[in-house]
Amino acid sequence: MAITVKLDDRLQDRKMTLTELAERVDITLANLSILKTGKARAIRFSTLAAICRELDCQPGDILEYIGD
Amino acid sequence: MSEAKRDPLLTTVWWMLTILLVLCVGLGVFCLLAYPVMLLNEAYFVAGFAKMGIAPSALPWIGILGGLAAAELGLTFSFLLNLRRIIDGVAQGQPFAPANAGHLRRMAWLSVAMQIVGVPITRMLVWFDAMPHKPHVHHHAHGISVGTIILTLVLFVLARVFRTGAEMQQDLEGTV
Repeated sequence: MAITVKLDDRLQDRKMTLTELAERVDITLANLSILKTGKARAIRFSTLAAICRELDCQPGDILEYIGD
Repeated sequence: MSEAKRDPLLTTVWWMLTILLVLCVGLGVFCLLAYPVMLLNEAYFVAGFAKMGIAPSALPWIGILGGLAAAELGLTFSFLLNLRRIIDGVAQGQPFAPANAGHLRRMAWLSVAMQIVGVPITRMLVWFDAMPHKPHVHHHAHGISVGTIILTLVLFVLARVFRTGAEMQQDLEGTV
């Protein structure tokens, strides 16, 4: 997968735990862990929007495309 | 099968398949043992065949027919077993599992094999049918059933549908 998730960096910037973000975004901790570890196959716009809202960032701050 | 018991249709089909599986085993064993039993009592059977107008030279062919019938029953057993496993999968709430696509693909190939084995069986039955005191057997003279060919094609298509469904299911499960 050429898309990497930089959720850890944003969480550190905001001094927020994964559990706290999961509660705020209203998705399960397990699903958020799947996203954080890059095991997710897709992300819903609604989930992305909620994460951006809570971390006060843009989608590009969370997702990064790495070329071959 | 505990989940399937909640669905009357699945439960009925599951039990019907189980009965058919037992029948396949029973008939298969009968077909395999019939010829050795005939050989052990050869004089008795040759005399009986003579009354029906069947030459003693037909005895080995009856053995071959028994072997082919046992093979056909073995293929049928495997076909039905795969179908029952699909029902188990559906009962567990996972119809679009990759395993079910595999079961359908195997069923399609098994139905092809059943058609192939069915051809010499039918040819032999036609031959027996031509004998003076023929047994009352209803079958297609050529041994190929259009319905079975259509079933085979449907199974191949369904296998592809299930494979795509399983991929979509995996995508859905990986979406957060």
